[in-house]
Amino acid sequence: MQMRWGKLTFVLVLAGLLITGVAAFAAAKNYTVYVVVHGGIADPFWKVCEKGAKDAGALYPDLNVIYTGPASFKLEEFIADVEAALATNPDALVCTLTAPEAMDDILRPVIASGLPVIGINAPDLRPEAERIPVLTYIGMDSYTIGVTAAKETLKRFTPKRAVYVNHHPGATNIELRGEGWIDTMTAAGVTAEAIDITEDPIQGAEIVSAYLKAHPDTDVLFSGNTQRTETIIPRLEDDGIVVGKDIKIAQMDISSQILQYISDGKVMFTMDQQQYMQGYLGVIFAYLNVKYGLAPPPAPVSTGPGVVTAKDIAALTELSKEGYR
Amino acid sequence: MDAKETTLWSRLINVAIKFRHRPEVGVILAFVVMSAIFSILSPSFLSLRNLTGMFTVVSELGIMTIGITFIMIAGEFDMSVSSVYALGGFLFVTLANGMNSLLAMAIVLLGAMVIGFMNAMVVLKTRIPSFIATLGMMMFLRGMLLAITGGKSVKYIGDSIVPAILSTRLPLGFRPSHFWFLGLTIVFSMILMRTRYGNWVFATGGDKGVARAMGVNTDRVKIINFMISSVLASLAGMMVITRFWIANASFGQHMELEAIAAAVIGGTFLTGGYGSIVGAFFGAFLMGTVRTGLVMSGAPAYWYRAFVGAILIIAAAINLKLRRQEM
Amino acid sequence: MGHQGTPLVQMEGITKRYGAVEALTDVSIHVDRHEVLGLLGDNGAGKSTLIKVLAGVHPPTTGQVYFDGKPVLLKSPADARKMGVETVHQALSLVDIMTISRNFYLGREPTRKFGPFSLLDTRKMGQECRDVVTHVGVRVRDPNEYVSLLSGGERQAISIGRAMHFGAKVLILDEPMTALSIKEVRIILKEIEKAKDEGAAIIFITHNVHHVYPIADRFTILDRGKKVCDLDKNQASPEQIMEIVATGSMDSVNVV
Repeated sequence: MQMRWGKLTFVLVLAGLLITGVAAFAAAKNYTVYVVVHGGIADPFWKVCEKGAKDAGALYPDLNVIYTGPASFKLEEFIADVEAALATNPDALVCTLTAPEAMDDILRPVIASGLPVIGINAPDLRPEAERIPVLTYIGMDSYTIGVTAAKETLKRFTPKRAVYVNHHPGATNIELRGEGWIDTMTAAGVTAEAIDITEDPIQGAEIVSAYLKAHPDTDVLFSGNTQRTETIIPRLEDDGIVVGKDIKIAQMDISSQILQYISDGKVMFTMDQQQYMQGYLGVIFAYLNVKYGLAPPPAPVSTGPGVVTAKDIAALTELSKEGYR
Repeated sequence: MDAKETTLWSRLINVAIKFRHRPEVGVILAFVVMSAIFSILSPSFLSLRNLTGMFTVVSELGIMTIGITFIMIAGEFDMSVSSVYALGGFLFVTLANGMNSLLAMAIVLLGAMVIGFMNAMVVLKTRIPSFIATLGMMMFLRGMLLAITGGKSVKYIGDSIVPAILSTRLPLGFRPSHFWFLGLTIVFSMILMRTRYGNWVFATGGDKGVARAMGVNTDRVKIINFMISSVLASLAGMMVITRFWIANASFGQHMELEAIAAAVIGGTFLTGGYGSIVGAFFGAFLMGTVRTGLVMSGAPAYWYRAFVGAILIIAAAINLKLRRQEM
Repeated sequence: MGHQGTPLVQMEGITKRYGAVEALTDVSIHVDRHEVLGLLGDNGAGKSTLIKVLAGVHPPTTGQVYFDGKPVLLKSPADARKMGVETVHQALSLVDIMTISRNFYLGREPTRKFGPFSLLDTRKMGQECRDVVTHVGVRVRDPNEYVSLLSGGERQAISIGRAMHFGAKVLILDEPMTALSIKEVRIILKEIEKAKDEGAAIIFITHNVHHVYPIADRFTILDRGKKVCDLDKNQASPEQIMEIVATGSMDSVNVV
């Protein structure tokens, strides 16, 4: 009885894995491009990027795009995924350059041996001579994001105290956004700092609530992630704070909810890095390079930041629902 | 069949029968099966490049798993290992950026011993269940680390001595950490199975009252095992740092659960008194293999965690069934 | 049964206080080699407390323990064990989740040197253990079987055999017949007889005289921390002894 039970489960697992494998084989085509992002891939932001990558893959019958990354942001997992992708000897790799120092060892040898590698979304911002020699980079300059956010804010008013909430502690590009924000604000005479709100949306909201209680003169908050803002705003309103009046929000990236918030006046503006294009162009450039040897435009292929305000909402809402923006 | 052949054959059968009773049988079989499946789904799974790549991640998780297995067999939990891992790495980078890296490593290992000792003292003196006490330590250390670093990464600019001992790539893609893992597995397996101390560990976890009645110093056993757990966790932390060249407060989060899962998959009981270091070795391999295998097979990325969870449940259940048959 | 000279174990005037509670008041017992003393009393009489003093678990508040006429200070269970005192307590003698041979040698594992390392002498452990276990009448295929497979009686037999194998001079049996079948009780009684023949001084603790009457030589009865009486076997019947235990006094009983 016991042995039969054990055999049954074994067979089930085997079947499950074989089904997965068959699916993979069914999709096997001539060119395989791995797209590995730092994620978490469940985040709606990355779903848009994934759609871009997959849509590009659907354009060519001989192109197979495999998109992957950790379920929630975890640097070690992301790096292990990149290594696993490279171990399959793909035709090209498109990835976020989230931790350049850690990725040096992994990417330089494969680039040297001729593998097309394209960076998206998170750039390597070390001095030019030190950077990983990717074919090109598609995305934004993270530092500029922070600067733009600050400038746009200062256009509207001069805050007393500004805070940046870091949702990916450990990601260099996310840290740089904070630096752009702080530097610009400080130059304008505003007290500014960055706080770490961890990977956990609920915990992060608590941290922000506590910070505002400790620093009630804070009147503007810059958030780099739509999902996080969607938990932070309700939490602050719970505290009795009138979001949009007592505290203003500068935002990065688009989601239907964020557009609604802008409409309601709770968020001043957001910035779009067009992550659909990051995934889409990343795959296209990689494919064209592998198949025809075509060189993509040099880095950086800038996809933003475009500032989105109330007047742009009508155009964007539908597209956001469909997953393009 | 002549006489010699019969004896050899029956000897082999005897070995197979005895082997069936060992706690590691389940996980070794599962590992072999899983590797076979993945190598069919993705031909480059068994490539040297991939094997050495997986071995690296496995070694870091595995060294932490050895420590946690040892303390689990003694009847306690150590949830703080993931924080000691991160803190150890951060402390190493901070120190080694300003001094000889060997000295920095020694200080970190010593510091880990102190943390292990503190864990033991809290558990023994306050009688709080070790799961809770070490959970508290885990959150405390992690929080402290986040506060100190503010979430920023620290770059390694120290000398290359310790990196060469721990992580720097060797010919063919191997790394020193692989040999550390192999060596530590052998050493701790010997200690557990072949020494008096190992017998005391089993007894302490199996039935503390009986162990004490028979003269075993169960307090001392727990103190030593907590210290071992922390030291190994910090060693693993230094290995990942000398590979990534940066230290960050977020490293290793939830790794304590992965280590416990690897230990349980390898045949160690959550309730103590029974387990295997060799099993932990293969358990870590299983955990490390699954994720990579799924990525290489092109499986939908959203299913990884579900797969690992399912495997854990199945493996633990099978192990339990196998043990029940002989206990 | 009389004894020549001083008994092996004497406990004189033992008093044990826990704060305001006096668990034992001026209790004196003695037991000699080749002798079984039945230590009786209802629950809470102080039997376990008294025996823990002898086993080195806690010191008496006042009183003195003598071995072979010499006063001894037992600071720990290790001290008591060194003097040859072994306690067999059904719940506390074997670890279910370990093998028979690992249990047998727990705390006293034999080792062999391999270079600079001392490793378990597994060959000796297997061989010796099998011999002793068979000797006490437990049929075991392999000393690497788990203790959880043994019955209560088999476990008790192995515990007693273990104690004697490691040279117990004083054997304390704490309620050894609990939950044993009638067949198993007989087997254990035989083992205790063997131990007695081999020269052990045996203290058999129980609250049911029928467990110990067949092999006891003498009885000491405690009630609420005080000694009620010492009796030789030929002085009272089991029923009379039970009456004393139940009532806590000798008033209603006529002993010889």
